[in-house]
Amino acid sequence: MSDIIIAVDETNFEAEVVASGLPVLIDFWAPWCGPCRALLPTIEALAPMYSDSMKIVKINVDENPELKEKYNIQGIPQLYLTKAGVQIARLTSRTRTQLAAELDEILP
Amino acid sequence: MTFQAFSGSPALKTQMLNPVRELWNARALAPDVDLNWNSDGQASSISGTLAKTQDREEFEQRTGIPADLAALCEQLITVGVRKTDAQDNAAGFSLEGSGAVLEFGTEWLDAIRPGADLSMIVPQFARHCLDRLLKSDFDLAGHISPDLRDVGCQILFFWDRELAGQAIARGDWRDVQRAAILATANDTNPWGYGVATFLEAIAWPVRSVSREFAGLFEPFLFNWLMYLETAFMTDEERMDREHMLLGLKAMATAPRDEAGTIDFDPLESLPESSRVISSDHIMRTMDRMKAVRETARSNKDEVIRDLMNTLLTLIHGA
Repeated sequence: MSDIIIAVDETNFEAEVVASGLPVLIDFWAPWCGPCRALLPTIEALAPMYSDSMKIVKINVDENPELKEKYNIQGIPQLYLTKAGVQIARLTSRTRTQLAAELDEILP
Repeated sequence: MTFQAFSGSPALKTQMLNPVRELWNARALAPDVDLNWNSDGQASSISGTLAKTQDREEFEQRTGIPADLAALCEQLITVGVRKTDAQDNAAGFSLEGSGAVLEFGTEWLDAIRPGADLSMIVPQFARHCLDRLLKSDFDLAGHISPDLRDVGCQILFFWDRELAGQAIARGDWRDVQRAAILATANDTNPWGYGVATFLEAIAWPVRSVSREFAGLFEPFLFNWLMYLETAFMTDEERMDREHMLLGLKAMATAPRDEAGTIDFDPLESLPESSRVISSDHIMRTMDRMKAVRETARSNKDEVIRDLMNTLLTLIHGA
């Protein structure tokens, strides 16, 4: 299941996020962050439902400080929906039901 | 992934389980919903030690046990025990809990038949918990609004159809999810919030809830066990507990900025909540609340043990 969520770093960011034809949901996380670990199963459960309309990736902020700075990440977990690398929405829900409702309003 | 517990080998089960039993009986393992194994500064968990890994996939490959089930079993133990630092202890911590709760540490592993497919245990357990929540004699039944109850009944109806092999259309689930969000938003009962957020989060096909279930069940169970303490409180203490819950809900649902900060005081319009959440009140009532928790302990252990017994029955039946 975790293969559905692509781990993005500074080397594959352009290819996986900026050049993506689909909007990309970025999950900013870190291994030491309990709420991030708690959110992961929720994100994994969402992934197959939106595979036609959105790509989901995760970025470890500890290992990718430039990407953390690029998006001005001040707290984690943080979920950004992006298009061509540009943030178009910040998702604030943390349950699958509410995240799906938020996404259904944003995605075409 | 197909699950076959201990690759069908009784010898492998014994080989994997014996070291765990030895360490658990010495109280050198700390149950945890996360797989912990040989991690710096962190005690190893029962399941992490069983498979000697912190990785979910490795755990499942080595044991043939769903990691979701392991997380759920460890979680039931964690809610029933108190872990405290103990520098005079070789493990660096001590676990305090009733024998009935502690024995589950290896009991669930002993119950597993080598070769059993345990992939449906968590979904079946989830179904059991939802059914129990909806019973009229459930401890929190009086705090569940009719709208929330309707949502719960609809989820249970869909789950039963799903477990019987029928497909539920995505649109039907969306209707239930919308009703769940609405019922949660409209719920004002202090004790109802824990139930509402649980129901809202599980409004999905039961197999797909399995991976998330331990994490979703934990706050619901905590709320349930906390409610059992109210039987040993004065009327004033019960009111204070309700104000506390309303305050915690206000803080949990307040909009936050990107740094996670709330730029206003969510308790401003809830002076009683603000009072009972103040450090002064907490410090002043600490000893009394500790006594209440201790008095309620056997009632809480009974609930936890009952949930453990349900899991054991499901495991034995697999």
